[in-house]
Amino acid sequence: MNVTDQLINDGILDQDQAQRINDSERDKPMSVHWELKTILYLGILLFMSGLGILVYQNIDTIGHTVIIGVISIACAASFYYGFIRRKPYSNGEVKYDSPLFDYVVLLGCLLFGVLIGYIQYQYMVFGTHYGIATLFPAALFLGTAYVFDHKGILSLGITGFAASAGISVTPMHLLKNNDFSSNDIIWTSIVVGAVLAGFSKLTDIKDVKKHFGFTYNNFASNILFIALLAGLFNEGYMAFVYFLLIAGLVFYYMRYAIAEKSFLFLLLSVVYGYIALTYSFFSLLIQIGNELSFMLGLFYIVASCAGVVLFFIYYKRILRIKK
Amino acid sequence: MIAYNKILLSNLLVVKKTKQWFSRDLINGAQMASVLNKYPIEYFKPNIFIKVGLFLFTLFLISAGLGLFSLVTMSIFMNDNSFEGYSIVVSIVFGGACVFFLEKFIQWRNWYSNGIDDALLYSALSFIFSAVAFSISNNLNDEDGLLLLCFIYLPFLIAAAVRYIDRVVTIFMVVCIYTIFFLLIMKIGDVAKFIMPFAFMALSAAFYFIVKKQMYLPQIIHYKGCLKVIKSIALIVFYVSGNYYVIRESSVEFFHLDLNEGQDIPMALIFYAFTAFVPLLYLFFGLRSKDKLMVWAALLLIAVSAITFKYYFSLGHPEVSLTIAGIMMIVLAYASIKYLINDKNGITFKDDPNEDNFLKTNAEALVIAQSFGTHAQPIDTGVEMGGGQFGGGGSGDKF
Repeated sequence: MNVTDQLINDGILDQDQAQRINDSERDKPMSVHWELKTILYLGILLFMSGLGILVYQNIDTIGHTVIIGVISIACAASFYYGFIRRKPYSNGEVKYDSPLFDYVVLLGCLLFGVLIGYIQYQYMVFGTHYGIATLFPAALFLGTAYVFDHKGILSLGITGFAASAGISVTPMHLLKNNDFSSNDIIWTSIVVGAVLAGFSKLTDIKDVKKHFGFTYNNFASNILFIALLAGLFNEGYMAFVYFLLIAGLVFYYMRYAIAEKSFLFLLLSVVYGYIALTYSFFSLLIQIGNELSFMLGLFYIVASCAGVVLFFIYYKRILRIKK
Repeated sequence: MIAYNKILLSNLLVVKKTKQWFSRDLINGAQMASVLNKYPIEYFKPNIFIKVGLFLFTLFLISAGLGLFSLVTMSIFMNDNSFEGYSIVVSIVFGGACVFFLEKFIQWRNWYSNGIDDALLYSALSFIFSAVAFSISNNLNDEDGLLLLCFIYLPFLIAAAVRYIDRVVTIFMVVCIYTIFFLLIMKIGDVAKFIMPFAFMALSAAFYFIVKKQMYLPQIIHYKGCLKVIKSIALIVFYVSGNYYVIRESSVEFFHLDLNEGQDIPMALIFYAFTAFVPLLYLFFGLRSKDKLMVWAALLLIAVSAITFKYYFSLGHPEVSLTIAGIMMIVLAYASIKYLINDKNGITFKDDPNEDNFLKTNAEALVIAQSFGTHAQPIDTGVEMGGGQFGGGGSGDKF
């Protein structure tokens, strides 16, 4: 039976209204909003990559001045477009109606990054201070992200900020590019993660662009958890400290997840926390190392998995008790 | 037939519809409230991320249970030469247990689509399938063995898809049918290579039209998701079975066609035309009948066709192709956006707030997953400046 007929039977709808609903269902236009935006975005990506290679191959014939000139003009034009169409700054979320606005501003930022990299490579304007050469555009990106309310540029700024400290934080490269067996990387990562999480918390309290919180914490939580886990795996005598830090972080992000209703962070804290707990449990078992410990290990996995499943089923009740 | 609480499923449908109407001001708040009152939907409905967690940890739990169980019982029940017999018994025990808990939890706790039920269902099927595979493992070396396996698996897959309305199982079911079809045609002999593409097209077309006809029948309203899966696969397989690259490579692979330099496969022109026009036809009919699924298939397949032609008619300048493709996409998308700012022929650029759209719900995640700025700066030894790289998608090159 049709839903409208069913509701007429229940006496919730009358005949006219049902007719109107059925008409509206039939005549409703199909929205291709996200499809077109995706094509546009992919187009920009392809265009930029193709152009990048073209410029690289023809650098001898075009000449540096021309390339720098063209990139600067394109970059300036993008920012000019952004600034004349910009809405006044607000601490809340600012939404732009024009579908192109986000992309033009993003293009401007990407071009600026390319420009700085190019100038640095060609003329060494920042000398050997590579960190500054990265920090400078990153700072501009962060500013731009706030001015134009742009989460994509915020991500750019955060990755740039972390890169200037010497670590890769993009999800795809977090594990691949960083050598977490070095303590320097671990400590740098912890500082970067803590700065990001702390800054997000601060802006949250001050009520500045609260919707940026997800982006900040998505980076911060992954950096922090992975760095702390690496610390736990590396260190003998510090392991206990790292374990406690992870426990604290799990607690922090569980509360964050509940407060923001952002359950990605609940999943992240449980998974990272479970890895830490299991690793610690098994290192203890190996140190004890008798015949029973293998059996005990299997029992632990069965019991702990069941525990996690139960936690996910009853997390509302469990976490409310904690509060 | 359906394991889940049917009243719950119907109520979910009613509430979903009425919520859309409410957001479009077609019904008022009082009506919405009485719908929610009359059609309660109280069940354990975890957030998507928690669902992922439940799914993963249920799988871990089942594997760990299997490990523990084997450790305890293996030494007792297994003789030297009965590994297969033991495995069959364990698989049946675990498969049965998974089905039992799945059924019982759905009954007791009114579970529906919360991650645990999916994990139990997939584990149950895996256990049953490995029991089957262990019992006929002697025949598994040839094509007949595979055919036999598919024939035995198919009823289980159909039963599971029907009883648990599961889309992943539906995918495997369709793949299983296609595999059986392929192996049966291969049995014909030499003619197989000529009829294979057309047979696959015919089967896909049959799937498509049957599904299209059944889609809006009220008796099978709960299977809409599964039918959509079958429809998408049918659309894609129909295209793939006539795609020039697939025809050429599979002729070489399965039918030992020897192609010399400059030689082409028989009827090459037809397959070129097919590769070029089928996606465009999909796009046309998809837009005309307001069929989102078909539009998506069309967009995906246009890209596939472009790559296919690029593969055989490459000019040797990928960067030029990239740039031109990028410009074309930007221009097309921009022109379409401008054109569709107001509704045209039932198509609009305006965002539909009620739509369940993968691109929309995952837009944020996609942005995050982008590898925008990738490489870290070298801390001490910085011979190579990575600055050109933090353009990310913009410039993949070090200048």
